[in-house]
Amino acid sequence: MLVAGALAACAGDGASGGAGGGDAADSALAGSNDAGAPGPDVPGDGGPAVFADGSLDGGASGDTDGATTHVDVAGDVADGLPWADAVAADVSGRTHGGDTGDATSADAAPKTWVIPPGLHGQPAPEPLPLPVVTAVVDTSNQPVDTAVLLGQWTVMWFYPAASTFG
Amino acid sequence: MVGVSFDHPAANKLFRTNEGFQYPLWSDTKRELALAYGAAKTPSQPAAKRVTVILDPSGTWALVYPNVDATLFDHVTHVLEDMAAIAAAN
Repeated sequence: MLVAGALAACAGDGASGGAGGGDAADSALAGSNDAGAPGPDVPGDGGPAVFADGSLDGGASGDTDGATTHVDVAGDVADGLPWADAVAADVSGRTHGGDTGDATSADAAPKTWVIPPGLHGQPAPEPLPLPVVTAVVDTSNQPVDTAVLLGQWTVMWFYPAASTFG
Repeated sequence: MVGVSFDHPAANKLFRTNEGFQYPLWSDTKRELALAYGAAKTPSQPAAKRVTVILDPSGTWALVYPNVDATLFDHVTHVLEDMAAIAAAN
């Protein structure tokens, strides 16, 4: 089975719309993670607010008791990535999300997600906002707005060419 | 979920139809996304590297799988396990 096919099978039907411009399946982003790719709720769900400095809810600073990552991703693993230099640095203790936050103003500050240790994937070395693209199109050759990815967790997979294995 | 390659939209459309994908496939012909996420080193790279990224609801990337091996069949499982772990931690 193609990995892509497996991902599709895990991703739910993606029936709801929102991408715009393309055909029905092109507009299937909203809820695309609903079935098979469980993710945390959107910001403001009451989960622990862990800030970039490791503090919880703006309180005492320090470690987040195992809710941090320390992944050695230096060297060849990061080869070729635009942030390879940053990856080579020690990323221990980092959490993911906004820079700092005010626990009482969830609307103003993006939620910082706890990335637990021991994952298969590597934590992103630094926050990277969603790129603004100008030339990405869907299968109907309609321009894509990456903003359609906002509001849900998204798995974005790059593949070498259509109809290739894996 | 969204798949991204450098293919012409028609090729991706056929790919999606043939495989029954229920999510979009995007054509990143100028490598805008690929360069941002490490799937391309240059704007002229002929094909995307197999890379998977997980983006949080704000669009910020949370995890990256920079060296996906298509000959292994555990990548999907790994992605789902990781997302479940993130959900549990939050």
